[in-house]
Amino acid sequence: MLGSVRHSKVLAFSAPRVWEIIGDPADLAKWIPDFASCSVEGTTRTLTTKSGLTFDEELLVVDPVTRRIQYELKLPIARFHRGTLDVVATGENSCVVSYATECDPRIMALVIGAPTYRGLVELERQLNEGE
Amino acid sequence: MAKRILFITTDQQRYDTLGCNGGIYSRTPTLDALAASGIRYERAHPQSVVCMPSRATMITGQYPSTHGVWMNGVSLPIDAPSVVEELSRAGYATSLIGKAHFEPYVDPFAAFPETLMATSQTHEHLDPWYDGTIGPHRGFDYMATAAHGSAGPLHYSRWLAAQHPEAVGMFYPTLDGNLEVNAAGGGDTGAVQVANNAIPREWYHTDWVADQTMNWLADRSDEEDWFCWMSFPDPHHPWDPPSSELGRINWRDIDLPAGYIEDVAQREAVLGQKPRHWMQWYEGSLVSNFEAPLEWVPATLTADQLREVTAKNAIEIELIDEAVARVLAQIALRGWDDDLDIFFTTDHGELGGDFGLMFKGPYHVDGLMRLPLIWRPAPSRNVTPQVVTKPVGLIDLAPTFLSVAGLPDASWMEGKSLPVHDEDAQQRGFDSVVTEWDSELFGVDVHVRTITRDNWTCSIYAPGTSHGDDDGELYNMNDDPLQQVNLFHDPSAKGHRDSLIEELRRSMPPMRSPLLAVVAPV
Repeated sequence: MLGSVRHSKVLAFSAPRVWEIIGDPADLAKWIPDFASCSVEGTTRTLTTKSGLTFDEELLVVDPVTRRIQYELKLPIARFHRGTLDVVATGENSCVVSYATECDPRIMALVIGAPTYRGLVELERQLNEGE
Repeated sequence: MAKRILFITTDQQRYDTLGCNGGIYSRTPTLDALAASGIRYERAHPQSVVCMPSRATMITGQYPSTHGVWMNGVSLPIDAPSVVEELSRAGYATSLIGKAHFEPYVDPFAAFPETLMATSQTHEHLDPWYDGTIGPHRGFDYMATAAHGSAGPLHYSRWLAAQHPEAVGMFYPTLDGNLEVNAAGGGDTGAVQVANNAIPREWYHTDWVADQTMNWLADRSDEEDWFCWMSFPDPHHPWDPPSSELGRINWRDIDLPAGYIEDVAQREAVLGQKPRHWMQWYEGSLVSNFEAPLEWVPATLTADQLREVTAKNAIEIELIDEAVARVLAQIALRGWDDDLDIFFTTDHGELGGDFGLMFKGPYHVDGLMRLPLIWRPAPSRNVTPQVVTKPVGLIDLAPTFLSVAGLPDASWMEGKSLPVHDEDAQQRGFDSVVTEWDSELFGVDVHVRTITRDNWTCSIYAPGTSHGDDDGELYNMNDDPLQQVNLFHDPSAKGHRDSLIEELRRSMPPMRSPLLAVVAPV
């Protein structure tokens, strides 16, 4: 069985406003504090963590209509990985942001999912402070 | 006259592993002497039986429900209140040397100060305190961290890799390649989490913790108040003490622990009376928590494997006792002993073969809950040696440190300064102690609350993967000290059960909301 982790935030901001910040997959390092840099070339996203690790991800879905981004991490330690970021409107000025991580081995879901949690905390901070 | 507090902790140590508590395997003359000249507690319980929540309770003086570290893998918030911050504010020099674990170990992103300090080879980190003050991390001027081996980014691992790289591969790997708790067998019997470790004793983490503590103490002046948390990673598994020490205790000579039921049918009958997750784990159909090896089936544990685990565990405890002796000798040479308060305890226990089980999990019995706790007050205060039989908790440590330092109580603490004798305990309401368990891991959840009072222990379960709302455990420890007869549904014990549940529900603090996120396995 895969390990599955989902972090989410209920935000008092519209889905389009939230998507402005997180909808471009090249902007990941601007709102997940674990990353020092992020770039996208074609469907390959390259990330470098502040701790010095660099790895690639394959972008699978970037859908501004349903507001979903899906990708796979390419690391030897993860036999399977899928990350899914969704922004779901729940009202004119409210939405839920959900960030799910599925992984084999299962424990890696917790490890890889940790920055997604910290990203949601940072996202909420940026929205509240109007950044 | 300076005030000095030496807070000694171990990890995952049973009550009955010290000579002063009736232990038969280890020789612990140093700790026994502290107990003989101080206060020995016979019923000290943790507020959680796993590391991170329990350690967070020690430093905050709060229940897991309050500080929010509700299971391993949840980080104590950086700005959580800390008794060490209060001591630091009062001018104490402060240190933590050894196992901290307020923050997750598995932290490849270096998101937490414990990792950051070690990877940057520094020993201090400035962070916000609970009141907005910017100060040293959780109040510690100096941190030198270690865990159970050579893996990971902590100070000990870095030191070993730099100074003795040939020793890095000698330890048993606590986690396997999938980051699960390793189920591989080793040693002489193929026992899980056991290895014969060729590392020289002086490079092993127990002696490293003592050495680092002595280095820190050497820098203190005679006039300085100080608080030192000397935190040994042992005798937590893996059980891989230096092979040079194995001659101390021959595992073949070990008598099996009293709680190990040799007869399989009898053992399974005892497990069958307990809530379902006990038997499910034993037979290998459910591992409800990360802290036990996923691929290990307790029913496969042999008597000889348990003997070897018990012997190696006992050797690790002897090494700790000797390390403490070295530190105390240095303190005596400085002439500081008369004004030194010494505390010794651990974060939680170890099943140690009870019911055929090892490691830990949502199993609230004495193996995991009854802890060694010794307070040797400063001899200058002329406290008469005592044995306290009333229940106390690790939650009471932080208020005790404030009291020893002559500082006012902190409103955010939920414990009380430890009693100095039974009458004091009676007068100040040390009647019961509560332990919590919550875990949610990949679709399996367990929620337990336990109260111990008047030699009865009662656990209630919230509905979860293996439990309904009528599951529970009730043990009369006068008649059944090994907790083998579950009276929860026994009509003759209904009065005790209902009274304990009523008090437990009244005592339970509300769960912090929203829950803090689980961001690592451990």
